[in-house]
Amino acid sequence: MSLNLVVAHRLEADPLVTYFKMTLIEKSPYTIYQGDGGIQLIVSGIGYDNAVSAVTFLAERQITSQKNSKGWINIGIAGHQTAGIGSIFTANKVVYQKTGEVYYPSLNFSSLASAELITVDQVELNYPNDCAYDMEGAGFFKSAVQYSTVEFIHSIKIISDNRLRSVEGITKKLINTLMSQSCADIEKFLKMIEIQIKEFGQVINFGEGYLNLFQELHFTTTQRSQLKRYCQRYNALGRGKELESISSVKWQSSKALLHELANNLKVKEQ
Amino acid sequence: MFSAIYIEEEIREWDRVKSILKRFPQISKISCERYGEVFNRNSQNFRLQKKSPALILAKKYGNFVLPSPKGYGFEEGESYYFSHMLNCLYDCRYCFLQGMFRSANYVLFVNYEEFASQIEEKIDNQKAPSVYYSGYDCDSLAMEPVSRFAEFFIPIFERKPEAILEIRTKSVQIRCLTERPAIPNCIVAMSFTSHKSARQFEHKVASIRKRIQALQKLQQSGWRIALRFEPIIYEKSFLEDYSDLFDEIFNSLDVGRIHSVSLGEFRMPKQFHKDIAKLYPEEELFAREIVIKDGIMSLEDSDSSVIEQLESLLLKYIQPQQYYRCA
Repeated sequence: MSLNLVVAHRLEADPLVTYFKMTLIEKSPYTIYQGDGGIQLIVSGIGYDNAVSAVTFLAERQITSQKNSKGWINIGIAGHQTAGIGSIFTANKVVYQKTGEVYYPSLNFSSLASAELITVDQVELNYPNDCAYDMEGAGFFKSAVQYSTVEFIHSIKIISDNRLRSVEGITKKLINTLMSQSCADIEKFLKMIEIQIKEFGQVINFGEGYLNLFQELHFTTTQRSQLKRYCQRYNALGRGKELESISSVKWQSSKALLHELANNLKVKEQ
Repeated sequence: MFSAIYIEEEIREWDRVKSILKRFPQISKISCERYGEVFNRNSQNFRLQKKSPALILAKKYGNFVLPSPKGYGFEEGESYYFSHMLNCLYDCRYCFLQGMFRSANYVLFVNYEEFASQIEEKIDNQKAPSVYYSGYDCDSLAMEPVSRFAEFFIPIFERKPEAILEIRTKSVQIRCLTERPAIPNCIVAMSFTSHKSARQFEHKVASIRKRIQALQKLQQSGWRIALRFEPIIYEKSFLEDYSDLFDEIFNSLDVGRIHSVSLGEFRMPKQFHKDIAKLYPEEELFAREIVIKDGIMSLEDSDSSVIEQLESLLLKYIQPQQYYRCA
Protein backbone atom coordinates (compact mmCIF):
# COMPACT_ATOMS: atom_id res chain seq x y z
CA MET A 1 0.00 0.00 0.00
CA SER A 2 1.35 3.42 -0.88
CA LEU A 3 -0.47 5.36 1.79
CA ASN A 4 0.79 7.68 4.47
CA LEU A 5 -1.54 8.63 7.30
CA VAL A 6 -0.78 11.82 9.20
CA VAL A 7 -2.47 12.05 12.59
CA ALA A 8 -1.94 14.86 15.08
CA HIS A 9 -2.32 13.08 18.42
CA ARG A 10 -1.61 9.61 19.79
CA LEU A 11 -5.21 9.42 21.06
CA GLU A 12 -6.45 9.79 17.47
CA ALA A 13 -3.81 7.41 16.16
CA ASP A 14 -4.36 4.51 18.58
CA PRO A 15 -7.72 3.28 17.19
CA LEU A 16 -6.30 3.44 13.62
CA VAL A 17 -3.16 1.57 14.66
CA THR A 18 -5.32 -1.15 16.21
CA TYR A 19 -7.79 -1.32 13.32
CA PHE A 20 -5.14 -1.51 10.62
CA LYS A 21 -2.97 -3.85 12.75
CA MET A 22 0.03 -1.56 12.59
CA THR A 23 3.26 -1.94 14.50
CA LEU A 24 5.60 0.69 15.84
CA ILE A 25 8.65 1.15 13.61
CA GLU A 26 10.10 4.39 14.94
CA LYS A 27 9.78 6.34 18.18
CA SER A 28 11.82 9.46 17.62
CA PRO A 29 11.76 12.18 16.42
CA TYR A 30 8.29 11.07 15.35
CA THR A 31 6.27 8.04 16.30
CA ILE A 32 5.74 6.05 13.12
CA TYR A 33 3.68 2.88 12.67
CA GLN A 34 3.56 0.52 9.72
CA GLY A 35 0.85 -1.87 8.60
CA ASP A 36 0.27 -4.44 5.89
CA GLY A 37 1.37 -3.45 2.42
CA GLY A 38 3.55 -0.62 3.70
CA ILE A 39 0.85 1.75 4.95
CA GLN A 40 2.52 4.11 7.40
CA LEU A 41 1.12 6.39 10.08
CA ILE A 42 3.03 9.29 11.58
CA VAL A 43 1.96 11.13 14.72
CA SER A 44 2.67 14.72 13.80
CA GLY A 45 1.86 16.60 16.97
CA ILE A 46 -0.75 19.34 17.15
CA GLY A 47 -0.72 22.43 14.94
CA TYR A 48 0.09 23.75 11.48
CA ASP A 49 3.88 23.75 11.81
CA ASN A 50 4.01 20.25 13.27
CA ALA A 51 1.94 18.95 10.37
CA VAL A 52 4.30 20.60 7.86
CA SER A 53 7.36 19.10 9.54
CA ALA A 54 5.93 15.62 9.99
CA VAL A 55 4.93 15.30 6.34
CA THR A 56 8.35 16.52 5.24
CA PHE A 57 10.06 14.09 7.61
CA LEU A 58 8.07 11.08 6.42
CA ALA A 59 8.40 11.99 2.74
CA GLU A 60 12.17 12.49 2.95
CA ARG A 61 12.46 9.20 4.81
CA GLN A 62 10.66 7.44 1.97
CA ILE A 63 12.62 8.98 -0.89
CA THR A 64 11.51 7.12 -3.96
CA SER A 65 11.83 7.52 -7.69
CA GLN A 66 8.06 7.31 -7.92
CA LYS A 67 7.23 10.83 -6.86
CA ASN A 68 3.51 11.56 -6.95
CA SER A 69 2.53 7.94 -6.44
CA LYS A 70 1.89 8.09 -2.70
CA GLY A 71 -1.39 8.82 -1.00
CA TRP A 72 -1.27 11.29 1.87
CA ILE A 73 -4.21 11.26 4.22
CA ASN A 74 -4.59 13.50 7.24
CA ILE A 75 -7.04 11.98 9.72
CA GLY A 76 -8.29 13.48 12.95
CA ILE A 77 -11.02 15.13 14.94
CA ALA A 78 -12.39 18.59 14.20
CA GLY A 79 -15.03 21.00 15.36
CA HIS A 80 -17.99 22.11 13.25
CA GLN A 81 -20.64 24.77 13.63
CA THR A 82 -23.60 22.49 12.95
CA ALA A 83 -22.53 18.94 12.01
CA GLY A 84 -23.37 16.21 14.49
CA ILE A 85 -20.76 14.61 16.73
CA GLY A 86 -19.30 11.61 14.94
CA SER A 87 -20.03 12.88 11.41
CA ILE A 88 -17.21 12.18 9.02
CA PHE A 89 -16.08 14.47 6.19
CA THR A 90 -13.35 14.82 3.68
CA ALA A 91 -12.18 18.40 3.24
CA ASN A 92 -13.16 20.03 -0.06
CA LYS A 93 -11.39 23.31 0.69
CA VAL A 94 -8.74 23.97 3.31
CA VAL A 95 -8.09 27.51 4.51
CA TYR A 96 -5.35 28.55 6.90
CA GLN A 97 -7.03 31.26 8.94
CA LYS A 98 -3.75 32.96 9.87
CA THR A 99 -2.47 33.61 6.36
CA GLY A 100 -5.50 33.03 4.15
CA GLU A 101 -3.69 30.36 2.12
CA VAL A 102 -6.18 28.03 0.46
CA TYR A 103 -5.94 24.45 -0.81
CA TYR A 104 -8.52 22.60 -2.88
CA PRO A 105 -8.38 18.85 -2.36
CA SER A 106 -9.69 16.97 -5.35
CA LEU A 107 -12.98 15.13 -4.82
CA ASN A 108 -12.56 12.89 -7.86
CA PHE A 109 -12.49 9.65 -5.93
CA SER A 110 -14.14 10.54 -2.63
CA SER A 111 -16.73 8.27 -1.08
CA LEU A 112 -17.36 10.59 1.88
CA ALA A 113 -19.42 13.74 2.33
CA SER A 114 -17.28 16.85 2.06
CA ALA A 115 -16.97 20.11 3.94
CA GLU A 116 -14.79 23.20 4.05
CA LEU A 117 -12.06 23.01 6.65
CA ILE A 118 -10.53 26.03 8.38
CA THR A 119 -7.20 25.45 10.09
CA VAL A 120 -6.75 27.61 13.17
CA ASP A 121 -3.84 28.18 15.54
CA GLN A 122 -6.02 28.43 18.64
CA VAL A 123 -8.94 26.13 19.40
CA GLU A 124 -12.08 27.60 17.82
CA LEU A 125 -14.81 27.95 20.41
CA ASN A 126 -17.33 30.04 18.46
CA TYR A 127 -17.53 28.18 15.13
CA PRO A 128 -18.38 31.37 13.20
CA ASN A 129 -18.76 29.66 9.79
CA ASP A 130 -20.72 26.58 8.87
CA CYS A 131 -17.63 24.47 8.26
CA ALA A 132 -15.12 22.28 10.06
CA TYR A 133 -12.24 23.62 12.21
CA ASP A 134 -8.97 21.85 12.88
CA MET A 135 -5.36 22.75 13.65
CA GLU A 136 -3.34 20.77 11.09
CA GLY A 137 -5.15 20.49 7.73
CA ALA A 138 -3.55 23.48 6.00
CA GLY A 139 -0.04 22.62 7.19
CA PHE A 140 -0.54 19.06 6.06
CA PHE A 141 -1.62 20.19 2.58
CA LYS A 142 1.11 22.77 2.24
CA SER A 143 3.69 20.07 2.72
CA ALA A 144 1.99 17.09 1.05
CA VAL A 145 1.55 18.83 -2.31
CA GLN A 146 5.34 18.88 -2.56
CA TYR A 147 5.38 15.09 -2.62
CA SER A 148 2.30 13.89 -4.46
CA THR A 149 -0.37 14.78 -6.94
CA VAL A 150 -3.34 16.61 -5.39
CA GLU A 151 -5.77 13.82 -6.31
CA PHE A 152 -4.08 11.60 -3.72
CA ILE A 153 -4.00 14.11 -0.86
CA HIS A 154 -6.95 14.23 1.48
CA SER A 155 -7.96 15.32 4.92
CA ILE A 156 -10.59 13.25 6.72
CA LYS A 157 -12.21 14.86 9.75
CA ILE A 158 -14.45 13.31 12.37
CA ILE A 159 -16.55 15.87 14.19
CA SER A 160 -15.86 15.92 17.93
CA ASP A 161 -17.43 19.23 18.93
CA ASN A 162 -19.93 21.79 17.72
CA ARG A 163 -21.92 24.77 18.97
CA LEU A 164 -24.17 22.54 21.04
CA ARG A 165 -21.38 20.44 22.49
CA SER A 166 -18.14 22.37 22.68
CA VAL A 167 -14.54 21.24 23.14
CA GLU A 168 -14.96 20.92 26.90
CA GLY A 169 -16.89 17.74 26.19
CA ILE A 170 -13.95 16.08 24.44
CA THR A 171 -12.52 13.25 26.55
CA LYS A 172 -9.97 10.54 25.81
CA LYS A 173 -12.85 8.07 25.72
CA LEU A 174 -14.83 10.19 23.25
CA ILE A 175 -11.84 10.48 20.92
CA ASN A 176 -11.31 6.74 21.05
CA THR A 177 -14.99 6.07 20.39
CA LEU A 178 -15.25 8.55 17.50
CA MET A 179 -12.09 7.34 15.82
CA SER A 180 -12.96 3.66 16.30
CA GLN A 181 -16.46 4.19 14.90
CA SER A 182 -14.99 5.86 11.81
CA CYS A 183 -12.41 3.21 10.97
CA ALA A 184 -14.62 1.26 8.57
CA ASP A 185 -15.47 4.42 6.58
CA ILE A 186 -11.82 5.41 6.57
CA GLU A 187 -10.81 1.96 5.35
CA LYS A 188 -13.32 2.16 2.50
CA PHE A 189 -11.96 5.56 1.52
CA LEU A 190 -8.36 4.36 1.69
CA LYS A 191 -9.14 1.32 -0.46
CA MET A 192 -10.61 3.54 -3.14
CA ILE A 193 -7.57 5.79 -3.14
CA GLU A 194 -5.30 2.78 -3.15
CA ILE A 195 -6.93 1.42 -6.33
CA GLN A 196 -6.28 4.72 -8.06
CA ILE A 197 -2.69 4.82 -6.81
CA LYS A 198 -2.06 1.31 -8.11
CA GLU A 199 -3.39 2.22 -11.55
CA PHE A 200 -1.37 5.41 -11.53
CA GLY A 201 1.73 3.46 -10.49
CA GLN A 202 1.29 1.19 -13.50
CA VAL A 203 1.24 4.25 -15.74
CA ILE A 204 4.34 5.73 -14.11
CA ASN A 205 6.15 2.40 -14.29
CA PHE A 206 5.13 1.62 -17.85
CA GLY A 207 8.12 0.30 -19.76
CA GLU A 208 10.30 0.41 -16.65
CA GLY A 209 10.91 -3.35 -16.74
CA TYR A 210 12.99 -2.92 -19.87
CA LEU A 211 15.43 -0.64 -18.07
CA ASN A 212 16.92 -3.70 -16.40
CA LEU A 213 18.13 -4.87 -19.81
CA PHE A 214 20.67 -2.09 -19.78
CA GLN A 215 21.91 -2.35 -16.19
CA GLU A 216 25.54 -2.71 -17.22
CA LEU A 217 25.70 0.79 -18.62
CA HIS A 218 25.93 3.96 -16.56
CA PHE A 219 23.36 6.66 -17.28
CA THR A 220 23.12 10.22 -16.06
CA THR A 221 19.71 11.26 -14.70
CA THR A 222 18.81 12.89 -18.02
CA GLN A 223 19.98 9.88 -19.99
CA ARG A 224 18.02 7.58 -17.72
CA SER A 225 14.82 9.47 -18.34
CA GLN A 226 15.55 9.41 -22.11
CA LEU A 227 16.10 5.67 -21.90
CA LYS A 228 12.86 5.22 -20.01
CA ARG A 229 10.89 7.15 -22.63
CA TYR A 230 12.48 5.15 -25.46
CA CYS A 231 11.61 1.92 -23.66
CA GLN A 232 8.06 3.15 -23.18
CA ARG A 233 7.77 3.98 -26.86
CA TYR A 234 9.11 0.62 -28.00
CA ASN A 235 6.69 -1.05 -25.63
CA ALA A 236 3.70 1.08 -26.69
CA LEU A 237 4.48 0.36 -30.34
CA GLY A 238 4.57 -3.37 -29.64
CA ARG A 239 8.30 -3.43 -30.39
CA GLY A 240 9.44 -4.44 -26.91
CA LYS A 241 11.24 -7.49 -28.25
CA GLU A 242 13.56 -5.26 -30.28
CA LEU A 243 14.85 -3.87 -27.00
CA GLU A 244 15.89 -7.34 -25.96
CA SER A 245 17.97 -7.83 -29.08
CA ILE A 246 19.43 -4.32 -28.80
CA SER A 247 20.42 -5.09 -25.21
CA SER A 248 22.33 -8.18 -26.30
CA VAL A 249 24.80 -5.97 -28.19
CA LYS A 250 27.91 -4.88 -26.29
CA TRP A 251 27.43 -1.10 -26.25
CA GLN A 252 30.50 1.11 -25.89
CA SER A 253 28.61 3.78 -24.01
CA SER A 254 25.16 4.76 -22.86
CA LYS A 255 25.32 7.62 -25.39
CA ALA A 256 25.81 5.17 -28.25
CA LEU A 257 22.90 3.07 -27.06
CA LEU A 258 20.58 6.07 -26.77
CA HIS A 259 21.63 7.21 -30.23
CA GLU A 260 20.72 3.84 -31.65
CA LEU A 261 17.37 3.73 -29.86
CA ALA A 262 16.54 7.25 -31.06
CA ASN A 263 17.64 6.46 -34.58
CA ASN A 264 15.42 3.41 -34.72
CA LEU A 265 12.47 5.49 -33.64
CA LYS A 266 13.39 8.22 -36.12
CA VAL A 267 12.35 11.35 -34.26
CA LYS A 268 13.12 14.20 -36.62
CA GLU A 269 13.58 17.86 -35.83
CA GLN A 270 13.65 20.22 -38.81
CA MET B 1 -22.08 13.99 -13.59
CA PHE B 2 -19.49 16.15 -11.78
CA SER B 3 -17.35 15.24 -8.78
CA ALA B 4 -17.88 18.74 -7.37
CA ILE B 5 -18.92 22.21 -8.46
CA TYR B 6 -16.62 25.15 -7.75
CA ILE B 7 -18.15 28.60 -7.92
CA GLU B 8 -16.37 31.92 -8.01
CA GLU B 9 -17.65 34.00 -5.11
CA GLU B 10 -18.34 36.99 -7.36
CA ILE B 11 -20.93 35.14 -9.43
CA ARG B 12 -22.54 33.00 -6.75
CA GLU B 13 -25.79 34.95 -6.80
CA TRP B 14 -26.12 35.23 -10.57
CA ASP B 15 -29.32 33.79 -11.98
CA ARG B 16 -27.48 31.66 -14.53
CA VAL B 17 -25.33 30.19 -11.77
CA LYS B 18 -28.28 29.56 -9.49
CA SER B 19 -30.17 27.80 -12.22
CA ILE B 20 -27.18 25.53 -12.98
CA LEU B 21 -26.67 24.73 -9.29
CA LYS B 22 -30.34 23.90 -8.91
CA ARG B 23 -29.87 20.99 -11.31
CA PHE B 24 -27.32 19.32 -9.03
CA PRO B 25 -28.59 19.38 -5.44
CA GLN B 26 -26.49 16.37 -4.43
CA ILE B 27 -23.11 17.63 -5.64
CA SER B 28 -20.72 19.43 -3.25
CA LYS B 29 -20.53 23.18 -3.96
CA ILE B 30 -17.26 24.85 -3.11
CA SER B 31 -16.59 28.54 -3.32
CA CYS B 32 -13.36 29.93 -4.71
CA GLU B 33 -11.99 33.40 -5.39
CA ARG B 34 -10.90 32.82 -9.00
CA TYR B 35 -11.20 29.69 -11.11
CA GLY B 36 -7.43 29.56 -11.63
CA GLU B 37 -6.95 28.58 -7.97
CA VAL B 38 -8.47 25.22 -8.84
CA PHE B 39 -7.85 24.95 -12.56
CA ASN B 40 -4.23 26.08 -12.68
CA ARG B 41 -2.96 24.79 -9.34
CA ASN B 42 0.30 22.87 -9.22
CA SER B 43 0.61 19.15 -8.63
CA GLN B 44 -2.50 17.97 -10.42
CA ASN B 45 -2.94 15.23 -12.95
CA PHE B 46 -5.16 15.58 -16.02
CA ARG B 47 -5.51 11.84 -16.50
CA LEU B 48 -6.62 11.18 -12.93
CA GLN B 49 -9.06 14.08 -13.01
CA LYS B 50 -10.54 12.97 -16.31
CA LYS B 51 -12.04 9.96 -14.53
CA SER B 52 -14.41 12.24 -12.67
CA PRO B 53 -14.03 15.93 -13.48
CA ALA B 54 -15.48 18.79 -11.51
CA LEU B 55 -17.36 21.77 -12.95
CA ILE B 56 -16.01 25.24 -12.28
CA LEU B 57 -18.36 28.18 -12.76
CA ALA B 58 -16.39 31.30 -13.49
CA LYS B 59 -16.45 34.80 -14.92
CA LYS B 60 -14.14 35.54 -17.81
CA TYR B 61 -12.22 38.79 -17.84
CA GLY B 62 -11.29 40.15 -21.26
CA ASN B 63 -10.24 38.36 -24.46
CA PHE B 64 -13.75 37.16 -25.08
CA VAL B 65 -13.29 37.03 -28.84
CA LEU B 66 -9.91 36.21 -30.36
CA PRO B 67 -8.63 36.01 -33.93
CA SER B 68 -8.86 32.38 -34.98
CA PRO B 69 -5.61 30.51 -35.62
CA LYS B 70 -4.44 30.72 -39.21
CA GLY B 71 -6.08 28.07 -41.35
CA TYR B 72 -8.58 27.10 -38.67
CA GLY B 73 -11.67 27.53 -40.76
CA PHE B 74 -13.07 28.31 -44.17
CA GLU B 75 -12.00 31.45 -45.97
CA GLU B 76 -14.85 33.88 -45.64
CA GLY B 77 -13.70 37.22 -44.30
CA GLU B 78 -12.19 37.87 -40.90
CA SER B 79 -12.54 35.00 -38.48
CA TYR B 80 -12.59 34.79 -34.70
CA TYR B 81 -13.18 32.21 -32.02
CA PHE B 82 -14.67 32.40 -28.59
CA SER B 83 -14.67 29.89 -25.75
CA HIS B 84 -17.41 29.96 -23.19
CA MET B 85 -15.96 26.75 -21.81
CA LEU B 86 -12.59 25.08 -21.26
CA ASN B 87 -12.32 21.31 -21.61
CA CYS B 88 -14.66 18.77 -23.05
CA LEU B 89 -17.04 16.09 -21.82
CA TYR B 90 -15.49 13.62 -24.21
CA ASP B 91 -12.17 11.90 -23.77
CA CYS B 92 -10.55 11.77 -27.19
CA ARG B 93 -7.03 10.52 -26.80
CA TYR B 94 -5.73 12.65 -29.65
CA CYS B 95 -7.12 15.88 -28.21
CA PHE B 96 -4.66 18.74 -27.73
CA LEU B 97 -6.57 20.02 -24.69
CA GLN B 98 -4.92 17.26 -22.65
CA GLY B 99 -1.63 19.01 -23.24
CA MET B 100 -2.92 22.56 -23.10
CA PHE B 101 -4.52 22.43 -19.65
CA ARG B 102 -3.18 21.06 -16.39
CA SER B 103 -6.67 20.22 -15.22
CA ALA B 104 -9.40 18.08 -16.74
CA ASN B 105 -12.08 19.96 -14.81
CA TYR B 106 -14.60 21.86 -16.91
CA VAL B 107 -14.59 25.64 -16.67
CA LEU B 108 -17.84 27.28 -17.74
CA PHE B 109 -17.64 31.06 -18.14
CA VAL B 110 -21.12 32.24 -17.35
CA ASN B 111 -20.89 35.92 -18.28
CA TYR B 112 -22.44 35.23 -21.68
CA GLU B 113 -23.67 38.80 -21.95
CA GLU B 114 -20.10 40.09 -22.05
CA PHE B 115 -19.19 37.55 -24.74
CA ALA B 116 -22.25 38.66 -26.68
CA SER B 117 -21.44 42.32 -26.39
CA GLN B 118 -17.88 41.79 -27.68
CA ILE B 119 -19.10 39.56 -30.50
CA GLU B 120 -21.64 42.16 -31.54
CA GLU B 121 -19.05 44.91 -31.35
CA LYS B 122 -16.69 42.89 -33.54
CA ILE B 123 -19.43 42.18 -36.06
CA ASP B 124 -20.44 45.83 -36.21
CA ASN B 125 -16.85 46.90 -36.83
CA GLN B 126 -16.34 44.60 -39.83
CA LYS B 127 -16.58 45.92 -43.35
CA ALA B 128 -17.26 42.41 -44.70
CA PRO B 129 -19.00 39.34 -43.28
CA SER B 130 -17.00 37.77 -40.48
CA VAL B 131 -16.94 34.25 -39.03
CA TYR B 132 -17.11 33.26 -35.35
CA TYR B 133 -16.07 29.79 -34.29
CA SER B 134 -17.17 28.10 -31.12
CA GLY B 135 -15.77 24.77 -30.04
CA TYR B 136 -12.03 25.36 -30.04
CA ASP B 137 -11.42 24.83 -26.30
CA CYS B 138 -14.48 22.67 -25.69
CA ASP B 139 -17.31 20.90 -27.47
CA SER B 140 -19.96 23.53 -28.15
CA LEU B 141 -23.06 21.40 -27.63
CA ALA B 142 -22.02 18.51 -25.40
CA MET B 143 -22.99 20.31 -22.22
CA GLU B 144 -26.00 22.18 -23.60
CA PRO B 145 -28.46 20.98 -20.92
CA VAL B 146 -26.23 22.65 -18.33
CA SER B 147 -24.69 25.53 -20.25
CA ARG B 148 -27.63 26.59 -22.46
CA PHE B 149 -24.95 27.89 -24.79
CA ALA B 150 -26.86 27.53 -28.05
CA GLU B 151 -30.05 28.82 -26.50
CA PHE B 152 -28.25 32.05 -25.64
CA PHE B 153 -25.85 32.59 -28.53
CA ILE B 154 -27.93 31.64 -31.55
CA PRO B 155 -30.33 34.55 -31.07
CA ILE B 156 -27.30 36.87 -31.03
CA PHE B 157 -26.39 35.74 -34.53
CA GLU B 158 -30.02 35.73 -35.57
CA ARG B 159 -29.90 39.48 -35.03
CA LYS B 160 -26.65 39.72 -37.01
CA PRO B 161 -27.26 37.93 -40.31
CA GLU B 162 -24.10 39.44 -41.79
CA ALA B 163 -21.94 37.27 -39.52
CA ILE B 164 -21.51 33.52 -39.50
CA LEU B 165 -21.42 31.31 -36.41
CA GLU B 166 -19.81 27.89 -36.68
CA ILE B 167 -20.67 25.54 -33.85
CA ARG B 168 -18.09 22.78 -33.84
CA THR B 169 -19.16 19.61 -32.06
CA LYS B 170 -19.25 15.83 -31.81
CA SER B 171 -22.42 15.97 -29.79
CA VAL B 172 -25.83 14.63 -30.69
CA GLN B 173 -27.49 17.05 -28.22
CA ILE B 174 -29.29 18.91 -30.97
CA ARG B 175 -32.74 19.44 -29.49
CA CYS B 176 -31.73 23.00 -28.67
CA LEU B 177 -31.48 23.50 -32.44
CA THR B 178 -34.24 21.32 -33.86
CA GLU B 179 -36.81 22.75 -31.47
CA ARG B 180 -36.32 26.27 -32.76
CA PRO B 181 -36.31 27.80 -36.25
CA ALA B 182 -33.04 27.42 -38.12
CA ILE B 183 -31.04 30.50 -38.98
CA PRO B 184 -29.10 30.65 -42.25
CA ASN B 185 -25.92 32.10 -40.76
CA CYS B 186 -25.26 29.31 -38.27
CA ILE B 187 -23.35 26.24 -39.34
CA VAL B 188 -23.25 23.11 -37.24
CA ALA B 189 -19.91 21.46 -37.99
CA MET B 190 -19.70 17.82 -36.92
CA SER B 191 -16.28 16.22 -36.49
CA PHE B 192 -15.51 12.70 -37.61
CA THR B 193 -12.59 10.34 -37.85
CA SER B 194 -12.63 6.89 -39.43
CA HIS B 195 -14.46 4.10 -37.60
CA LYS B 196 -11.11 2.63 -36.69
CA SER B 197 -9.81 5.88 -35.20
CA ALA B 198 -13.12 6.57 -33.48
CA ARG B 199 -13.07 3.15 -31.81
CA GLN B 200 -9.46 3.54 -30.78
CA PHE B 201 -9.31 7.15 -29.70
CA GLU B 202 -12.77 8.67 -29.15
CA HIS B 203 -13.98 7.71 -25.71
CA LYS B 204 -17.43 8.72 -24.43
CA VAL B 205 -18.31 10.12 -27.88
CA ALA B 206 -21.59 9.24 -29.65
CA SER B 207 -21.17 6.66 -32.41
CA ILE B 208 -20.58 7.76 -35.99
CA ARG B 209 -24.04 6.44 -36.88
CA LYS B 210 -25.68 8.61 -34.21
CA ARG B 211 -23.72 11.65 -35.31
CA ILE B 212 -24.87 11.11 -38.88
CA GLN B 213 -28.47 10.76 -37.68
CA ALA B 214 -28.09 14.03 -35.78
CA LEU B 215 -26.88 15.71 -38.97
CA GLN B 216 -29.83 14.29 -40.90
CA LYS B 217 -32.23 15.75 -38.35
CA LEU B 218 -30.48 19.08 -38.52
CA GLN B 219 -30.72 19.16 -42.30
CA GLN B 220 -34.38 18.21 -42.10
CA SER B 221 -34.91 21.10 -39.68
CA GLY B 222 -33.28 23.52 -42.09
CA TRP B 223 -29.94 23.94 -40.37
CA ARG B 224 -26.78 24.31 -42.40
CA ILE B 225 -24.27 21.63 -41.60
CA ALA B 226 -20.58 21.08 -42.22
CA LEU B 227 -18.24 18.13 -41.89
CA ARG B 228 -14.83 18.23 -40.25
CA PHE B 229 -12.71 15.15 -40.87
CA GLU B 230 -10.01 15.56 -38.31
CA PRO B 231 -7.64 14.66 -36.99
CA ILE B 232 -6.55 12.37 -39.78
CA ILE B 233 -4.41 9.76 -38.08
CA TYR B 234 -2.53 7.61 -40.51
CA GLU B 235 -3.25 3.87 -40.56
CA LYS B 236 -2.19 1.49 -43.31
CA SER B 237 -5.81 1.08 -44.32
CA PHE B 238 -6.65 4.80 -44.14
CA LEU B 239 -7.96 5.04 -47.71
CA GLU B 240 -10.37 2.14 -47.27
CA ASP B 241 -11.33 3.37 -43.81
CA TYR B 242 -12.18 6.84 -45.06
CA SER B 243 -13.77 5.54 -48.22
CA ASP B 244 -16.20 3.54 -46.03
CA LEU B 245 -16.81 6.57 -43.82
CA PHE B 246 -17.40 8.92 -46.76
CA ASP B 247 -19.83 6.42 -48.32
CA GLU B 248 -21.74 6.16 -45.10
CA ILE B 249 -21.91 9.89 -44.50
CA PHE B 250 -22.51 11.24 -47.98
CA ASN B 251 -25.13 8.60 -48.75
CA SER B 252 -27.05 9.74 -45.68
CA LEU B 253 -27.00 13.48 -46.22
CA ASP B 254 -28.15 16.01 -48.78
CA VAL B 255 -24.65 16.64 -50.10
CA GLY B 256 -25.55 19.71 -52.11
CA ARG B 257 -26.71 21.44 -48.93
CA ILE B 258 -23.54 20.79 -46.97
CA HIS B 259 -21.90 24.13 -46.25
CA SER B 260 -18.30 22.90 -46.21
CA VAL B 261 -16.12 19.87 -45.69
CA SER B 262 -12.59 19.96 -44.35
CA LEU B 263 -9.69 17.65 -43.67
CA GLY B 264 -7.17 18.26 -40.94
CA GLU B 265 -3.98 16.52 -40.01
CA PHE B 266 -3.13 15.31 -36.48
CA ARG B 267 -0.81 18.02 -35.20
CA MET B 268 -0.25 20.11 -32.11
CA PRO B 269 2.45 22.19 -30.40
CA LYS B 270 5.37 19.91 -29.51
CA GLN B 271 5.14 20.72 -25.81
CA PHE B 272 1.50 19.60 -25.72
CA HIS B 273 2.55 16.35 -27.37
CA LYS B 274 5.33 15.87 -24.85
CA ASP B 275 3.02 16.47 -21.91
CA ILE B 276 0.32 14.14 -23.24
CA ALA B 277 2.90 11.42 -23.85
CA LYS B 278 3.82 11.69 -20.17
CA LEU B 279 0.18 11.31 -19.20
CA TYR B 280 -0.35 8.32 -21.50
CA PRO B 281 3.05 6.62 -21.91
CA GLU B 282 1.37 3.39 -23.03
CA GLU B 283 -0.54 5.09 -25.85
CA GLU B 284 0.65 3.93 -29.24
CA LEU B 285 -0.35 7.21 -30.90
CA PHE B 286 2.08 9.19 -28.75
CA ALA B 287 4.88 6.69 -29.23
CA ARG B 288 4.87 7.05 -33.01
CA GLU B 289 7.61 8.74 -34.97
CA ILE B 290 7.03 12.44 -35.20
CA VAL B 291 8.27 15.39 -37.18
CA ILE B 292 8.58 18.80 -35.57
CA LYS B 293 8.40 21.89 -37.71
CA ASP B 294 8.18 25.41 -36.33
CA GLY B 295 7.32 24.00 -32.92
CA ILE B 296 4.41 21.95 -34.23
CA MET B 297 4.51 18.17 -34.28
CA SER B 298 2.90 15.88 -36.78
CA LEU B 299 3.18 12.17 -37.38
CA GLU B 300 6.06 11.23 -39.60
CA ASP B 301 4.02 8.58 -41.36
CA SER B 302 1.28 11.10 -42.12
CA ASP B 303 2.89 13.29 -44.79
CA SER B 304 1.00 15.56 -47.14
CA SER B 305 0.39 12.71 -49.58
CA VAL B 306 -2.04 11.15 -47.11
CA ILE B 307 -4.16 14.29 -47.06
CA GLU B 308 -3.83 14.62 -50.84
CA GLN B 309 -5.09 11.09 -51.35
CA LEU B 310 -8.00 11.76 -49.04
CA GLU B 311 -8.72 15.03 -50.86
CA SER B 312 -8.96 13.16 -54.16
CA LEU B 313 -11.28 10.65 -52.55
CA LEU B 314 -13.40 13.35 -50.94
CA LEU B 315 -13.80 15.30 -54.16
CA LYS B 316 -15.60 12.33 -55.64
CA TYR B 317 -18.43 13.12 -53.23
CA ILE B 318 -18.47 16.91 -52.99
CA GLN B 319 -17.86 19.98 -55.12
CA PRO B 320 -14.39 21.57 -54.89
CA GLN B 321 -15.90 24.81 -53.61
CA GLN B 322 -17.29 22.91 -50.61
CA TYR B 323 -13.83 21.76 -49.58
CA TYR B 324 -11.01 23.33 -47.61
CA ARG B 325 -7.94 21.96 -45.90
CA CYS B 326 -7.56 22.82 -42.25
CA ALA B 327 -4.01 24.04 -41.65
